[in-house]
Amino acid sequence: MKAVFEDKKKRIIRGQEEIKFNSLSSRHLISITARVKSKKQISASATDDEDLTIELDGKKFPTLTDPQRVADSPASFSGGALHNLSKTVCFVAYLDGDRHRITFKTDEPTATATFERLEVYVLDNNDKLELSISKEAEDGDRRSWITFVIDSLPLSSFSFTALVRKRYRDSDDIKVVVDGKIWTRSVGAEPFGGSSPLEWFYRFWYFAGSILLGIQRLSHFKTKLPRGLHYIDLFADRKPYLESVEFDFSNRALNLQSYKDDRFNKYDEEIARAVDYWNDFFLSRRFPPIEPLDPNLVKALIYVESRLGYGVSSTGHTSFPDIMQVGNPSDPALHVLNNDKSRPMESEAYSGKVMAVDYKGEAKVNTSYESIYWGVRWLYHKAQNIDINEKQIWYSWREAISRYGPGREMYTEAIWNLYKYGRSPDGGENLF
Amino acid sequence: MVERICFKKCSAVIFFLLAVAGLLLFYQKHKLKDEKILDRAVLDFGLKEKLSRKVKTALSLYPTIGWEKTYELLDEVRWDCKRGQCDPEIFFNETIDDLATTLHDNREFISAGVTLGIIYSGNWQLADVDLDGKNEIIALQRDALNISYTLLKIINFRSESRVTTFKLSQGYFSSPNSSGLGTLPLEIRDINNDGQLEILVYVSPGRGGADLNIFTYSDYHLNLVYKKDDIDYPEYTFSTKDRDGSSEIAIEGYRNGERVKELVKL
Repeated sequence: MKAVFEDKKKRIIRGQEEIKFNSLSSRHLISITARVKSKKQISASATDDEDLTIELDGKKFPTLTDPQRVADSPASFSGGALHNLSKTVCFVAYLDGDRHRITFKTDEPTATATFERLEVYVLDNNDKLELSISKEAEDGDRRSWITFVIDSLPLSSFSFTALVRKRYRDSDDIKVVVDGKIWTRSVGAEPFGGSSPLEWFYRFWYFAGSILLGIQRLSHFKTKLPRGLHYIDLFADRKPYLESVEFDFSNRALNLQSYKDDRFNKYDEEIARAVDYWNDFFLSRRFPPIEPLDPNLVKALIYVESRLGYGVSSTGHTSFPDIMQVGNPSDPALHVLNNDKSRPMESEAYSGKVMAVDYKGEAKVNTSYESIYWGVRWLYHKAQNIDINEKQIWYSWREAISRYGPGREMYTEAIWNLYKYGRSPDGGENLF
Repeated sequence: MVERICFKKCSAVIFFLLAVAGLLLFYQKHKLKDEKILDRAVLDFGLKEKLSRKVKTALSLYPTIGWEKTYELLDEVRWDCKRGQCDPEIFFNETIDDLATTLHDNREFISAGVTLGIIYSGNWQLADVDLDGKNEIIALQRDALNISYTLLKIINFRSESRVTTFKLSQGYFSSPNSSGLGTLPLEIRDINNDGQLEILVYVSPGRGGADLNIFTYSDYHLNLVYKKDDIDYPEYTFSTKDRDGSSEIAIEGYRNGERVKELVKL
C-alpha cells in the first residue's frame, strides 16, 4: 500500500468541489473524512439537513435498493443522521487511467459541509487488505461512523479488531451493517459466549460495551459476497475504538464449480486469480462489458481445450503447460498481444480512443498460470469490437468463446454445455 | 571568497540537474509502466473523417481534372495519413468500391489502391478469371479494425457494377501451409485443368490454421465451389493429375489431436 495523495486542509464545501490527483491504473483505497449538519444545527429557518455526496471519476455510489438515490447512500454524508459528527468513508475501487477526480457535492443549503481529510493509497494486487485504523469515534449517539465501500469486488470475509467500553449510563457500541442488513449474531455465539437477556437486548449491536466490558475483540465476518458494489457500514454509539480491519477479496475460487474428478479442480485458484485480475481491469473502463467473465466458463473452456492439461490437445499443440492453448506459435494470439510485428497490429477501444494492443513481449506461456492469464486476456480481446461510429461493442460471452476458438459451432456447444449443465464433451455424462 | 561562492553555485546547479534527471527517470519509469498495456492511438476518428472526405473530393473531381491530377490529390492524402500515423487499411478500406466505380481501368485502380495502402503485396492479384480476354483485379480486404471478416473482391471494369464482393466470416489471412504469418492468403490457379482459373482463399478465424475456400468467377458472380474447415492446421498440396487423370488436393493436419491425411478429388 503506497500513499499517493493527501489533502488535510479543513474547509467548507461550497456547492461542489473537485479534487484531482494522478496515479496509475490500479486498485485504490480512498479515505474521506467529513462532517455535515442537521437542519436544526444549520439554522432555525433551515428546511433540510445538509447532505454531501461523493463521486469517483464521475461514478456515483447510490443506495443498493434504488440506483437513482445517491443522497442517503452509506457512501454519502447525511446531516440528519450525523448531526455534525465526523464520519469516514473508505472506498476500495479500481481506478482506470492516470488522472482521477473526486467530486464532492452538497445539496441545499450549501456551505455547511466540512471537509476534513482525504487520503489516497494505491493497493497491491493482493486478495487481502489489512488496514490499521486506530481511531476513536467522537462522543455521540447512534450514527454511521466508518463506511467501507467495496466497488466491483467480491468479498469473502472481513474482520475487525475493536474496543468498546462500559460507560456510565450508556456504553460504547458498534453495529455492523453489510449491504443494508444488520449483522446480528445468534445468542450464545461469538463474541459474547453467553445467553443472557442482555445479549438478546444488544443483538443488533455486534460489539456492545455493556457485555464486552472493555475487552478488545477480533471478530470475523464470513460474507461470501459476489463481485459488485458493497457497503460495510459501522455505526457507533458513544466512543468505540477501531483498531484494525482486514478484508479478503479472494472468494472467486470458492464460487468455482467443482468437477467430480478432483484432478480437474487443481487450477481453480489460478483461474479465479486470472479472471479476477482481468475483470477488474475491464470492468473499470468507461465502457465495461455487460457482465463480468465467469471463471466457471474459463474452466469449461480449458477443459475442452486441453482437459486441464491431462488430455491431448485437439490441435496437436502440447496440452501442458499451455492449458488454455493460447500460445500455439501458428496462432496469432501471443504475437498480437506482444505486437511483435510478425502479424498485423490489432486494436481495442481504451478510454474513448482506439489503441494498439501491445504488451511488448510480456505475454508468454511458460507456466499454467501464464497460459490462463494470457488466455483470459485474449478472450477479453475477442469479446470486444469497435464500431466505426466510435462505439465499443461487447459480444456476449458465448459469442466471445466462439471467436476464441476455431470458429466451429461444435466447439462452442461443447464449452457451453459443460459450463451450463456439466455435460462432458466426450460423451455427455455429468462431470459436476 | 569568490571561489567559495562559485563552488556553492556550481553545487546548486549540479544538485538541480541531478534532481531534474531523477524526476525524468521517475516519470519515464511510470510512463512506461502505464503505456505497456496499450501502446498508441491507432484511430483518430476526426482525422479519418477528414481524410475520407478528401478521397471522396478527389474522386468527385476525377471526371473534370483527369487521372494525373486525381492521383496527385490521392498522394496528398497518403502523406496526410503518414503524418497522422494512420493505419491505411483502417482508414481507406471502405473507399475501394468508390475507386472501382470512379476510375477507368486496372492501371489507375492499382495505382490509387497502392497509394492509399489498401492493396499491397499478398492481398491482390491480376488474372483473367472469367476467360473474357481481359484481366480482373482479385483483392482480399481484412476487417482491419476488428479482424472479424474478410472480403473477397473482384474488380472488373467490363461489368456494370464493377465490384463483386463475397464476405468470409474468418478475419485472419493465412497460407496453404497454415503459417500464421498469413503471407499467402490468395492464390489463382487452375486446380482441375478445365481451363478456367479458380480463386483460392486461405483465411483463419484466429485458431486452427487455414480454412480453404475455392471460388470461381463467371457472369460477374463469385461462386464458392469448395470449402474445407474441419481439419486443424492443415497443409494443402495440389496435384494436377493423378493416375486416373483427375486432380487432387492432399490435406494433412490434425483432428482431435490425431494426425490425419485426406485426399479430395476435384
